[in-house]
Amino acid sequence: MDIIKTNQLTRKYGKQYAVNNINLNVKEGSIYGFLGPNGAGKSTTIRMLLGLIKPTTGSVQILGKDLTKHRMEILSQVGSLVEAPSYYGHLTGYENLEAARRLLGAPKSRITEVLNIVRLNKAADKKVKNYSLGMKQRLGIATALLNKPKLLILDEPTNGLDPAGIQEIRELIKAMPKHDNMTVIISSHLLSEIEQMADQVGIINKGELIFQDSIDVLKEKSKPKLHIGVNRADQAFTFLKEQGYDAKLTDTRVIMEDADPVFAEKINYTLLSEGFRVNRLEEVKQSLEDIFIELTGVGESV
Amino acid sequence: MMSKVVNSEIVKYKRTWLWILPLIIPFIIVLANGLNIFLRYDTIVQQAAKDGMTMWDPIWIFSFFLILLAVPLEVTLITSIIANVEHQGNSWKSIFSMPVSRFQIYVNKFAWSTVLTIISGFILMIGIIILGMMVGNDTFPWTHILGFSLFPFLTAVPLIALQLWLALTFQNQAIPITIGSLGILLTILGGQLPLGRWLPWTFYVQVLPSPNQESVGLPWDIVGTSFIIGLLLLFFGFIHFRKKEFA
Repeated sequence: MDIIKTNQLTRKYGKQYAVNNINLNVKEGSIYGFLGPNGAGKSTTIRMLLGLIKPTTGSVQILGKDLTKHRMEILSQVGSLVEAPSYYGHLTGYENLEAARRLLGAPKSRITEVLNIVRLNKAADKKVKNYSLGMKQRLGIATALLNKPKLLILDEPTNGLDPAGIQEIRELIKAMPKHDNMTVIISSHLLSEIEQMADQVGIINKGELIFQDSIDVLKEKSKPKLHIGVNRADQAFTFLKEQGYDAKLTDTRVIMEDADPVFAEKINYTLLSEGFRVNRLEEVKQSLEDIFIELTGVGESV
Repeated sequence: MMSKVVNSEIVKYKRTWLWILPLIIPFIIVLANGLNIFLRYDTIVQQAAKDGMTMWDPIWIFSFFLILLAVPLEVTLITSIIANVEHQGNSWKSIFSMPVSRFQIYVNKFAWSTVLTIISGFILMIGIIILGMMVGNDTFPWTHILGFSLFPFLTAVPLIALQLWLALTFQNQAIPITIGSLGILLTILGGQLPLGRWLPWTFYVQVLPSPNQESVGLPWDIVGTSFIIGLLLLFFGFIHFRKKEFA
């Protein structure tokens, strides 16, 4: 079952489309990585999922119910952390959780539980204004967990954290669905981060969802490719195409999807027999990062 | 559900000035009155004997302007603290991602502001009674006592609705506080304006008895009008707040 399902979700600011016809499908029990460069529309989408802002058109279904009609019921089963941390600086960590707990009607014992989960039990009686950013962010996650949510929505939870803080939050999130059969949707602009946690990925760019599938499908795209350096590259390319091979042509090289040694040998032989002179047979690995950049077009100018 | 919101708010207001303000403002008014009488005791006693006044009258004369300043000041500060608790740590988005309605939050903040303001009026009343007894009064002119303590705070409801809306709308609290301070001008001048007696800044002026005259009964009509105007302003404020998007 899809825990989140959006239908042609669109949000306009003036004439600009911040989010354009997005159909998200988040499967139950998965960690869904919501990826996109800064300003792509991640936060706008997530705010619409929580009902903080209203879609211009389109609709959101969470846990099988329409968000506009059953907002309260849905939100009682959702925990969330939206971008920059929310907190009461003059209160201690414990008191912050207590304020939220009273609103949610969760049992008092739950505070100690969530403090343990995010490992803030030692800092529970310190004022939150003295917390580091990482601690504030962990407090936010603790708050999100108070009502034992079925769905946890985290918007850029590692933004601005140092590597140790990022690592800590990552470990925390990875462990979650295992515990309580929770579904997690987590947004980020860093693929490397999502790659280590998510099993489903959605990539948004300029307000449009340009990829949505399992992480394995995305990884498939990063299979090594065979780069062939050859004289008369354009003719070689046409020749290979005629032979029924799937190939691509760059300025000086022919690129093929398969980098298997036996295949490389075969191609090399075919080209040589036809009178082409092969000077390179290179296996080139593409990182997910490269694919991300390729998909989103960000980084072209670098 | 409303009780959940009320209970949650109590936690948030810990270690804020919210608990001290409703005490400190009546305390200052009573203290200033006490000092006035203490320092000018002989003059005041002579004057009172000559004009046939009681020892209540110097308290009314001196309280008049203090109350005109205290009510808008207190309302501005209380509503600002109540709103700023949320602005200061970006907590709106977090609150409204929880199963709680905007109406509950808005009305709850209004209720806290109103109750604290009215408590302040009660404390002032007690303080004034104690002071009056200390300076030798043995009669209790209740319409004046109420008119110079509880009633001005009771009729601050429209101002509370207005200032709360401002404080909730603007993240930067300098704006509601500036407007609140400028409001003191309207408190003093509002009566001269056409329709002035319908302004949120003039109700607590209208209920003040004139210091030197026999009272003509408690101004329940003004209290009633102020409540109606207050609820209207609360309603319009909420209509706006309901549509506001919290980023």
